[in-house]
Amino acid sequence: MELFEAILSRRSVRRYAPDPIPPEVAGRLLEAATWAPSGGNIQPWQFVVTSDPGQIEELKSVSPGMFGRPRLVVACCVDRRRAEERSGPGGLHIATLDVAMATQNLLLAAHGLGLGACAILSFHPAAVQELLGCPGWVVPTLLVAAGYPEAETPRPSRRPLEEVTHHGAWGRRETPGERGAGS
Amino acid sequence: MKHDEAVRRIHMLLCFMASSARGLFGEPRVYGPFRLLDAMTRLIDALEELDLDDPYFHEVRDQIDRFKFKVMEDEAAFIEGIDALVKGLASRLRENREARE
Repeated sequence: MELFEAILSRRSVRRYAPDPIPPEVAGRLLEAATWAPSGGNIQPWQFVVTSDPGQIEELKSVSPGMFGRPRLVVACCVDRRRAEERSGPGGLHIATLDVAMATQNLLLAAHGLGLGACAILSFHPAAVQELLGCPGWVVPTLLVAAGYPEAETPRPSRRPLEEVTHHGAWGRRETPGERGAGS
Repeated sequence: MKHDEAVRRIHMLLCFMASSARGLFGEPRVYGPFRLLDAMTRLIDALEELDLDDPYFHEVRDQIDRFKFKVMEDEAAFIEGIDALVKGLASRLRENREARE
């Protein structure tokens, strides 16, 4: 799949078919995640992965934002110890951004491999830590639920580009091509 | 064994409700009603797995599933869906009472 097409056609998929995700496919998702940009190349992330149905069911019980029956769940975590050791107190903020970018890589990779996935922020971090046996310094930041899509997900609305972009300065709406046109 | 499974299912539903309660402090206001509806469908799922369900509950779950994700796109339609759900549940209560009398 061409990159731009993948970016535009990715959806948050919340209903999954029963087909399992082969381990090599899961491996590619994680590889994609680890190639996200990282401030200072610190890579302050850890990924805790499970495809065990019982464990996924337990994770779902403390993750109100998780729907359907995902075949794979990846807890995308900040490694606080690594972040703070390498970048000091500000490291946590950078690490959170890094993990978010890694998660987006994972979501796009899932889409490119024919999977459906959804990033989840509505979960109880301490409960997820408990269920996955994470040490205190490994903090789940986003969960990704994945599986083969059960059906097509409708295209959601997006704010128009002109409403959210400014050219050269805040409030300047014309595109560079339009500047000076007709004047 | 049946009892143990029932306890496990109820335990997970309690986890879901407690996690929802905590999460709602930082989430959009409309997630409150959404979580309650989701708890209903999860309760019906649990009853089904424990063979304690009723075909009527399946209808209720299907009805909720048809509108619950409108919470993200169309709040008015979401509220309409809840109104229709409550009205239907109340009608069913009355019908059941009348059938018993």
